[in-house]
Amino acid sequence: MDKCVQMIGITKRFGDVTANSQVNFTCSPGHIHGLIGENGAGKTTLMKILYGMYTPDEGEIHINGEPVKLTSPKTAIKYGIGMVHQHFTLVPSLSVVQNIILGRPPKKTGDVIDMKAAAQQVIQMSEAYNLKVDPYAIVDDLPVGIRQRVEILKALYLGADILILDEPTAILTPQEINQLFLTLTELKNKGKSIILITHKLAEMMSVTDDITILCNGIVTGHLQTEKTNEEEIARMMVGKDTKLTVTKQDNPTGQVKLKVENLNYYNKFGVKMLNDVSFEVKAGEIVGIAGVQGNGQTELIDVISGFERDYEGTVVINDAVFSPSNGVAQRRRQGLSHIPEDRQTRGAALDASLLQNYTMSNFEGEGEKKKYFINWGKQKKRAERCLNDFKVKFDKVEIPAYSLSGGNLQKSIVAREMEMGPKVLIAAQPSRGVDIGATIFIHERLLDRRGEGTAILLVSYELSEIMSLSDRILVMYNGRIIGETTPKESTEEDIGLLMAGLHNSKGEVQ
Amino acid sequence: MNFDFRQKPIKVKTALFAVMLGLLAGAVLILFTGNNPLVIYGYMFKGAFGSASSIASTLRWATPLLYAGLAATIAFRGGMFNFGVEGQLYVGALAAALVGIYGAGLPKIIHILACMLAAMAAGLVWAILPAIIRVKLGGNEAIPAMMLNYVAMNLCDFLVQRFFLPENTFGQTMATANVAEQVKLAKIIPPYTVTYGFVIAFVLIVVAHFMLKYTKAGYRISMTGMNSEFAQYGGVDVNGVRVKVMLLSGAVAGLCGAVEVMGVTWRYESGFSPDFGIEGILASLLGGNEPFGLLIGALFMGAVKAGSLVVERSAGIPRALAEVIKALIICFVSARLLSEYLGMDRLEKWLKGKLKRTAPAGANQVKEG
Repeated sequence: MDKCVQMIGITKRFGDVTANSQVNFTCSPGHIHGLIGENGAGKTTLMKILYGMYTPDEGEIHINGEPVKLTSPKTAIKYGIGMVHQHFTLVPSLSVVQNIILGRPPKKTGDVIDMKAAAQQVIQMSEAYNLKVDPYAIVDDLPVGIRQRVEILKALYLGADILILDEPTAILTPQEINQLFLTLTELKNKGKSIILITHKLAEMMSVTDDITILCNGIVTGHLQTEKTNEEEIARMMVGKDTKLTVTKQDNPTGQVKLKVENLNYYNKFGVKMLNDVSFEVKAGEIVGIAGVQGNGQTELIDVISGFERDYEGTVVINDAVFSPSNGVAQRRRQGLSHIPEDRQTRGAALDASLLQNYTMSNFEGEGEKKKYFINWGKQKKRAERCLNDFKVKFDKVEIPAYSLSGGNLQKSIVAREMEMGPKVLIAAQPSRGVDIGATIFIHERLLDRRGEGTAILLVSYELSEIMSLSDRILVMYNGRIIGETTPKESTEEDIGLLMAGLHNSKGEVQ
Repeated sequence: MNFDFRQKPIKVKTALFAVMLGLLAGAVLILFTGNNPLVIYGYMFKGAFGSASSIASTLRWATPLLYAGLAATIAFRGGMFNFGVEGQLYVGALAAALVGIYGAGLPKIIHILACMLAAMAAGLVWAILPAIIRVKLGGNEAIPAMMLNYVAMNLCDFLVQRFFLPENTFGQTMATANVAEQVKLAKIIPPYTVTYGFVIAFVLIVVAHFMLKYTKAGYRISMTGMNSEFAQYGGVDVNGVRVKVMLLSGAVAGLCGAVEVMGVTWRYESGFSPDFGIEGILASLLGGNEPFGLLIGALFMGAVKAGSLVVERSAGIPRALAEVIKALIICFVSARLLSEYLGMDRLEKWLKGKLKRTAPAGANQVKEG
C-alpha cells in the first residue's frame, strides 16, 4: 500500500527549548528522503513525533490526505510507519526469527507460537527484499551490518511502508554502507518511502532523492538532491559558509613520544582483545587507528592510558617506560592526555560542575605550589579561559556538566585535555555526536597540537575523520594491527577491506 | 554485582518538602489517636526548643548522630556504603571505656586523647573487612558491614561479661565499671547532659566540610563518589580512596561510641545505642551527604527525639510516634521524584515566572541531537 505522509506545521517544545518550529515535511512512496542537520537541529525529534514517541504541540500529520493522531509507536506501526533506531533494539540472545516476530508472532491453535510459519515468513521477506539473513542465527553472533538488516526486516514484518532510519551508517564499514544503500534503493523501488536521518553530507548526496535541512528547529531548505551540492547543504545546516574538512599540511616529525611493544590483553571473558600490538607515534604526527568498533581499539586505549592494568607488554610515554603496574596518574604526569571514547561515563562526572570536571586534568600537576589544597579561584579562571578558547557555550563554570549539550560537553573535554600542551594525546572518537561546525573546530585544534609537537594517537570509527587527519593509518582487526598505510597511498575502499579483515586490493596482507 | 553509586545531590528544597510531608502525615496519625496534632506538635516543639533543658536535650541527642552521620557522609562521598557504623561505634565505645578505666594513671589530657584514639582505632579496624571485600573481591560492602554490627554488639557483650564485669553486678545491665573521673567530658550547660562532645563534633563537621571542598584529597574523594570511572580515568587511585574513606569512616564511628561513653553513660553498657548508627546514616542522607547538611539533619533528628520524650511524658503518646514520623520523613526524602509528581517543580516555576526569571531547561540528561 503506497502511502504519502505529510507533516504540517509541526512544533514541539521541551520546556524553554523549541526543538521543532513550524516544520513541514513530506515523504512520498518510492522516494528516499534525507533529513539532515547539526546536532540539536531537531531531526530526531521530528522523526520521533512521526513514530508516535512524542506528541507535537502544534501541527498535524496526514497520511494519504487524512489527518491522523499518532499517540504511540503502536499506533504509528498500525499506520505502517517503522523506525530503525541508532541503538539497536534486538535481543542478543535470541535468534533472528525470534527477534523479528517479537510482539506479533504467528500463532497456531491454543495460542502456541508457530515458529515454522514465522521462519517461513522471514525467509520470504528476506528474499523479496534481498536482505539475506539466516533465520536461526543468534543475533549476538552477527556482525553489525547483518543486525541492521534484522532491524529493517523487523520493521517490514510489522508492515512498514514508511521506513525511518536514524543515523544508520554510524557503525558500518564502507562496504556495509554500500550494501545498505543498495538495500534502500531496492526497498524504494518496491514502493516504500524511506526517510534517512544523517549528518553525513556525502551519504546524503549519494543515495537520497530529496533533502530537507533543519537548522535550530526550523526548515532551512527543501532541495532535490540532483540539483544541489554539499556546500549548499552545509551552508543551510549551519546558516553560514563553513568548511567541510580541514586542510592538512605536512608537518616535520620529531622524536618518538609514544611507543607500545607487544601488548597482549585478555578481557574478563577470556577473549584475547589485543594480540601482540606494537607501534610508535612521533612528535608532530597523527597516527590514526582505523577499524570497526569492537576490534580491540577500546582495549588498546585502556591499556595505553593505564586504566586497565591486567595486560602484558610495555608502554613508553615521553621516554618513560611503563609496565602494567604503573597507573594512570603516573602516565599523565609524563604528559599523557586522553579524550575518551565515552564522554558520559568516562569523560566527565555529569552531576559535577564544569569547574570540578575541568580540574581533574590538572590538579595533580607540577606548577601547583600548594601540595594539599586546591586553589579554586585560580582553577575557575583557568577553566573559564579554557572553555571560552574552545567556544564552549556555558553560563558559568558552576553549572553541572549534564546541562551541556553533547557537542558542548565534548568540546569541554577536548579543551581540558588539550590545554596542558600534552606530549602524547590519545583522541578517541573526538567528534562523536558532534555537529559539523564543532567537528571542524576540534579537528583544527588537533592539527594545531600536531603543529606544536604533540604526538597524537587518533582512534575513530569514522573513516573520513581518520583520512582527513592522519599522517599514518594503522588498521586494527581482531586485536591485531593488520595493515599500515597513509591517506595518500590508500583509498577509503582499500582501508575498508582491511577493516573487514580482508586483504587489500593488491592481495597482500601487510 | 556492580553497585557503583552515582551520587545525585539531594536538593535542600526536596529535603524540606519531605520534612513537611512527614509532619503532615504524622499529623494524620495523631488525629487517629484522638489527639490534636497542633497540641502534640506544640509539646514536641517545647520539648525540643522550649527551655534550656529542652535545647540541651536536643543537642545531647544530636551529638551521637553528628559523629555517626559524619562517618556515613565520609563513606558516601567516596562511593562506599558504610552500614557498619553501629558496630564500629560499639567497639569504639568499649575501647574508650577500657582505656578510660585502666589508663587512670595517665595525665588528664593524654588520658582523654588515649580514650578517643583507642576508640578510633577500634572503629577503623572494624571497617577493614568490608573495605577489603569491596576492593579486593569486588563484592558489595554494605551487607558485610551490616552483619558485622551484630558481631560487634555481641562480641563486646561477651568480652565485658567474661573479663570486664565489676565484682558486684548481678544480672543487671551488662556494663563495665565507670571510667576515671578525669575522662568524663565536661558539660557545656550544667547540669544538663550535653557535653563538649557536641563542640568537638561541630569542629569535625567544619573540618570535614573544609577538607572535602578545598583539599586535593577531598576532591579525589568527591569525584570517586560522583563517577569512579571518571576519577580513575583522570588518575585517581580509586580503590585507594575507597579503602581510606571506609577506614576513616570507621574511625569517626568509633569516636561516636567514645563520646557517648565519656560524656553520658560513663561506662560501656550493653545495648547503649538506640540505633545511633542507622540514625546517623539517615541524618547524613537528609543533609544530602554534605557536612553542614548533616548538621541540620542531626539537629533536626535530635529535636524530634527530644520533643518526643516530652510528648510521651505529657500526653501519654508513645515515643514510637516520633519514630514513625521520622520514618515517614526519610521515606519522603528518598522518593526524590515525589516533589515533581506533586507539582513542586511546577509550583516553583510558576513562582519564578511571577518573578520574571526563567527556570533551567532540560532534565538530568545530556542533550543529544
